[in-house]
Amino acid sequence: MSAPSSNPLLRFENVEATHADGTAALRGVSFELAAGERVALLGGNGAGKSSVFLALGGFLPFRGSICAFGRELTDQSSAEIRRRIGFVFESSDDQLLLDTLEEDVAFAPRCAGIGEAEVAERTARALDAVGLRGYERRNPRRLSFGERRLAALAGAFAQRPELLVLDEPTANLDARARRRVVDALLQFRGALLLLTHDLAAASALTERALVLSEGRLVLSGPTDSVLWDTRAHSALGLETDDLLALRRPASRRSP
Amino acid sequence: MEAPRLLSPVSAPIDPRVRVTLAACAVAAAALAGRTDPSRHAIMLSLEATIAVVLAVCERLDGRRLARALAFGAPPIVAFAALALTRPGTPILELPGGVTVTREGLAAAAGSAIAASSALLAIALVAATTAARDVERALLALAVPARAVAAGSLLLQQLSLLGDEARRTHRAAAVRGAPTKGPMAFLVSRGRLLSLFESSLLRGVALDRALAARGFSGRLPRAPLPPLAMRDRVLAAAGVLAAAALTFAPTR
Repeated sequence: MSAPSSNPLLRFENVEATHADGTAALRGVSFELAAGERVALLGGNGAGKSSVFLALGGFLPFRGSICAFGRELTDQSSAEIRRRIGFVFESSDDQLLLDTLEEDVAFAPRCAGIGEAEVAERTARALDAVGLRGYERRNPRRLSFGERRLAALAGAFAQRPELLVLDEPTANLDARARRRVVDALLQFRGALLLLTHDLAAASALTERALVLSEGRLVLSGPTDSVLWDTRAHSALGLETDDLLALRRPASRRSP
Repeated sequence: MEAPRLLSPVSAPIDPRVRVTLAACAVAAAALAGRTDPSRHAIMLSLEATIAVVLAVCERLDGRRLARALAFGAPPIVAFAALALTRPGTPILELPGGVTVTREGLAAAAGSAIAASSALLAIALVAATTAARDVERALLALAVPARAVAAGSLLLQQLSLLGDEARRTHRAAAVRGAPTKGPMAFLVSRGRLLSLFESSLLRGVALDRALAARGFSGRLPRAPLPPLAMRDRVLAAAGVLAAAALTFAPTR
């Protein structure tokens, strides 16, 4: 769907995957993402966004080829590739593993064997970035829904990934919590793959968008163009309210 | 200069490594003491009960948590003691169903109940005064295999999440008119257990993915504990010596 570059950060090439019940999850998905690029993968419920997420994590068997940081994703390479990617799961509850926020945010750096001084510095910066400084001793599972999402994001930030992959990071959040998540993501300087059906967040955070429908990529282009393409509207199942929300010019739009 | 107080609400809490060591000593002593001399069990239980009361006051024990922990352990102790009652020996009581209680069985049951109670008391006390993360860090510091500690910790965490889910489904069933008390409630809840089992499996898969995505390698990454203070070293040494004395020193 996109013009191939010589050395992309991430490349999906004709990726096909199947759910456990035998239905097709991904049907020949191909796309690339360059270093530092911010891409939205848009799609309605069941379009295959989470399958892309799981396949990239090495959690869903696939056919075809996924190449990240110049390495083919295989059972042997998946752990090393995952160390360079920050994954933010759709359900924060599955991702928050330890009982103080400070320790949970420090999970990945400590697993990577980084020294305690740097772990402390990364944790503090990550908590600053998501606005949860002062919550260090709180149990992350006892935070509000929006704060748990931010806590999961802080955990990914502390990893200092080259690529951040987020599965529906703004789903089920109120307007203020969505803004906090988007503001935090705007501070991230690496490449971003945003899997979402939140068009306003996609518009605020990404410069390129891919539209996924029934496991196939059906559209690709600059985010603001894709959002106004009628083919995208039917693929995304958009309704009048969704389009009205996008009517304001991009510069004034808030997520 | 004010003299340091060993155990008081204003002094620093006892290091979790020492708490866990003391509990391990108590459990070991409870398991071994009866083998050398059954009368030691009674001595041990009274000593541990005294220590428990002192610690409970000094450590501002959460009484509800302690009661819950003790209640959790009581049924296995009762069952174990009941099994011991029928040990071969002089019969003293015939129970329905042809079960004969013997004098030797009664003594064995009393010994087992006392030993198990003292061990349980030690474990419950640690559980009720120490945060799970501190117990986990202490076990790691005491060279318990990291994978076993991580498995236990994650299991407890998942049980807590499943408990939340069970409460949610219970409330959802209640608002839809399902009975919440009595035998009918039990019958209705059996159906929910299956869905709870299914969701626990799904949660397990999700947890496994999240652990892998965050670089988990078998050891939960916890902040290291500070070096042991002199007071804590003394306490740990005293605990080990006391347990050894209670177990092996001659009584007569």
